[in-house]
Formats: sequence, structure tokens, C-alpha cells
Amino acid sequence: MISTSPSNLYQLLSDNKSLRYLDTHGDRYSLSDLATSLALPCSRGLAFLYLDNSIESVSLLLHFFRENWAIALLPPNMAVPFKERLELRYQPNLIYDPQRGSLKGYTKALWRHKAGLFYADRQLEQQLHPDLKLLLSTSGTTGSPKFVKLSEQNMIANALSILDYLPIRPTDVTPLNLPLYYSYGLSVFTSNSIGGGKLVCTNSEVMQKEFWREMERFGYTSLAGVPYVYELLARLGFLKKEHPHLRYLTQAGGKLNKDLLAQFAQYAQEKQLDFFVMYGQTEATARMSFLPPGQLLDKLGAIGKPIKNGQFTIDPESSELHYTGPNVFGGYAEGLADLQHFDPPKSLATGDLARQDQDGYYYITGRLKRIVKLFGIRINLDEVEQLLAAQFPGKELVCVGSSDKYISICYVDPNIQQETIKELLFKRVHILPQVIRFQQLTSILRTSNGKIDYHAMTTLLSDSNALVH
Amino acid sequence: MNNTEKLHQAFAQGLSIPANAIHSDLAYQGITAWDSMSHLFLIAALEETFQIQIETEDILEMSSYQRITSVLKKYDVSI
Repeated sequence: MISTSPSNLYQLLSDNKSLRYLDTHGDRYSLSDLATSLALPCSRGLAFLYLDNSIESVSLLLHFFRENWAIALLPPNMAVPFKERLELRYQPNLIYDPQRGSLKGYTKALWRHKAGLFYADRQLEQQLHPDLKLLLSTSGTTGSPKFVKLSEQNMIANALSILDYLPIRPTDVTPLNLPLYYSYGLSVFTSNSIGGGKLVCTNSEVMQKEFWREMERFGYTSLAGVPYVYELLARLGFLKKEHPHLRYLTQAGGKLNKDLLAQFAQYAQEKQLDFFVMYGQTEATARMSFLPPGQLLDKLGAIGKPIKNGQFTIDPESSELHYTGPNVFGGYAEGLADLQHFDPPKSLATGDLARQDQDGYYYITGRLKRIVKLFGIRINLDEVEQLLAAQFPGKELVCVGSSDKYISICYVDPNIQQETIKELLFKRVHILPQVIRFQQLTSILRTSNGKIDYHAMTTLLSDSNALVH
Repeated sequence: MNNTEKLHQAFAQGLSIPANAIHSDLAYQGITAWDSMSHLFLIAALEETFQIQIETEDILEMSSYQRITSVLKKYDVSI
């Protein structure tokens, strides 16, 4: 068992004697093999780490778990102009990015005999709040400068609550099949590093043959996925096959459609797998609630009950779901000055609307803000609309989300350039053209005080879709 | 329309890329437009264009333009 209120993440990992990190060749490394010494220019600074899931990236991350530095974890495939804009804003003391050969104002260095490290020529004395450990983005590769501020205590508390309900064991073989810069992926990494056995550091994904070869070779005991991954798994015939080493599956990052959920629930019951439906947000480090696998078929579609040390309340007026617990973040950062502060809110307003059934299980019923979650990435429809308004003045383009699958752009004036709009949304906010639908209307629906009536528009569109299909 | 033209049309539709961006060196993850998300759109476009049902194991096999043309032969589509 784990000792009470530990304060040091690295110490928790060192205490796990079964912990081994494997690369895709099958070579095994202990924690001390990987967290080798790296000369840092100061005792506390800010590092920007563009991490993939390779052993080199994992090794650097482990190193920074040991150091008293704050780290921002970022996607390596973010467009270079976005990277530069973020770096200008936050002035990191160190950058890890193997994809760029040189950086203005930085001097190159090697990490594990490979290029990718950059030290700032001018080492700023950063004003960082002592609790600040981790910065994560919630918007994927869009390059938004808005970060979620998290502490080491947040990470430890959340990982221990996850270990309380997931059947993580020292004999496990866990793939890193979600990105480390994504809160869910990072939580798989931290919780399994504390309580699991072997972690396989791989960049292959379920859409590649290598992934399935590795799954067979290493004998993965669990898989984690956002709804889209489960859609892929179903299309790839996962449910028609046996997976003898697999003991449990986890799903988070948005609501899985009910048909697919039922299919996986049925499969899990037949094969005696534990299927965990979970709910969380980056603002809660990752996890807030889970549905016990035994309740899955009875409570299909529920997000379950809060994790250990967490509590939910529902605002009686708005029905918004609020969460309190030791994993709640210390606020957002939009720039360097915000890193001086770390102020956890009394409760985390999730932006989701919820209800609780008579047995105490929670269900998400909608969203307060106009946000759709496509492929696990949050897209704020108001922001998309503002972008379109700025680019196409005079054209009224109204964005409506359809069941987390499509964004419908409604218009009255037929004289719009659909291809140009798609291209703009892909380039600026990385929305795939395939998920954009255009819908011409005779008028934009409005409420009595003249505001766009999004609720009525959504209903209208779902009705017209029902007619088409 | 011959099969090559049809194939290019399926690529353009599935990956949402312009016709002049399609060439025989294209590969999965070689361009930003071809990732795990768009791969299923591409498979759907190929199924629709050639009126075929692509088997599960072939979905993983179709990881480049060249591999797609060789897998399509199995379905009696020659490019």
C-alpha cells in the first residue's frame, strides 16, 4: 500500500520496484537508467517540452519530475509559427523540440546523444509560484496560449485516486497509446508509474499495424481511449477478436455514443474484461469520476461517482456540475505574469450540465458553454464564429454543434465560399474539413430579445438531419 | 472516368486535399491531412467510389498510395 500524503512524485516512482520502461525494441530501463543527470542553468526555471511517446521523451519527463522546475508539455506536431508565438509569450529557459534544428536566442545541446535540447542564451530569473509544476493546454495543436496550471500535489493526488479504483498491478504491461501532453495520457503514465509494472514507450497508434504487433509481442494488459479510438477499434474488428492478455479498458475524453458503448459493455461482460467509463477535465489534472464496471450495463451512459477525495455538487439553478478535490487546478495562464500566481478555485465549474439518479450516479445532460468535443479536442463554437465574422465581414455565419460529430455552419446568403471557410478553419484552429457541414437557412433563428437562438437552431438541424437520413 | 481518376477523387474527398496535392508517394502521416482521423474518411471514400467493402485487416494495410493500389487489386480494382 501507498504511504499517506506523499509529497514527492519522483519518490513515489522510486518506491515502485517493479517499474520498468520499455522501448519498442523491448529494451528495459529502470527509473534511474532514464532520469540521468542533465545540467540545468538554474535551480528553478520554465521548460517547454514538445514530447512524443518515445523513450527519449519519457526519459526527459522523468528527469523533470525530479527537478524543481515548472514544465509545459506540448504537442511536437504543432505548427512552427504557433510554437514561436508561445515561446515569445512565456520565455522558457529551456526548450526540448527534436523537430527544429535551431532556435533564435537559444543554444543547441544533446539529449541522450540526440539533438533537440535548447538553452536560452539569456537566462531570465522567472517569477514562478512555488506550487506551479505543470502547464497543459486543452486545445491540442491549435497553439492557444491558454494553459491550465497544475501543481505536483495535484498530480500525486489524482494519480493516487486513480490507483484507488483502477486494477493497476505490478505485473501490468501498459502501452502509452495516448499522448503525454494530453491530461488523460499523462494520467495513464503517472498512475502506472506509481503502481504498475512495465510501461511501453511507443509512438504507434491503433491505426497502424505496428501497434497490433506490439500489443501481441508485449501482451498489453490495458488500453486507454477517447471515443474516437473506440470507434476505430470497432471498425478494426476489435470486438470480433480475442485479446487474451487484456484485463481492462478505460474510456474518457468525451461521451461515447450509446450503441458503441453497449457493444463494448456487452463484449467486456462476455470476455470478463473490466470496462471503465470515466469523466474528467484537464482543470482537474485529469480524472473526476468513474463508473464501476459492474454497474456499466445498469447505468449505461452515466459518468459514475466521484473518485476518492472528490465531491460533486449540482448548482440548483443552472444544473451546472461542480467538483471539489485535491486535484483541482490553480487557475489559467495566458502569459508569463500569470505564472506568479497559483489560486485553486473553491470549486471547479465544469461547464457541463448534470443530473444525479436515485442511486447517486451522475449523468451529463448537456453543456453550459457552446463547446463541442471533436476527437477529444475542445472547440469553442463562439470563438469559431468570431473568427469567421472577422474574416468574412457582412456574412452571417452561425456555428452549431451536432452531437460531437460535426460542426454545422448555417448561412442565409448563398454567396459564401465553402472551400475557403474550410481551409481557414483547418489552418487557424485545426478543425478537419470532413467534420464541417454547411446548411443554408431561410433565416437565422432568434430569441425575442434578438440574440441568436442556438437551442432552436440545434433542434432544427437535428430534425433536418433526421429527414435526410 | 478511369480507375486512376476515381482513386484520385477518393483521395481528394477522403483527405480533403486538392487534386494537385495527390501523388503516388503519399503515405499515412506523411502529410498532416492523412492521420488516424482522416484515414477512416479515406476508407469510406474508397468504398463508396469503387462500390466495395474493405476488410478489417486491409484497413491497416492501406498505409500509402502504393499499398492502396496493391490492396485494391484484391477487390478486382486495377489502377
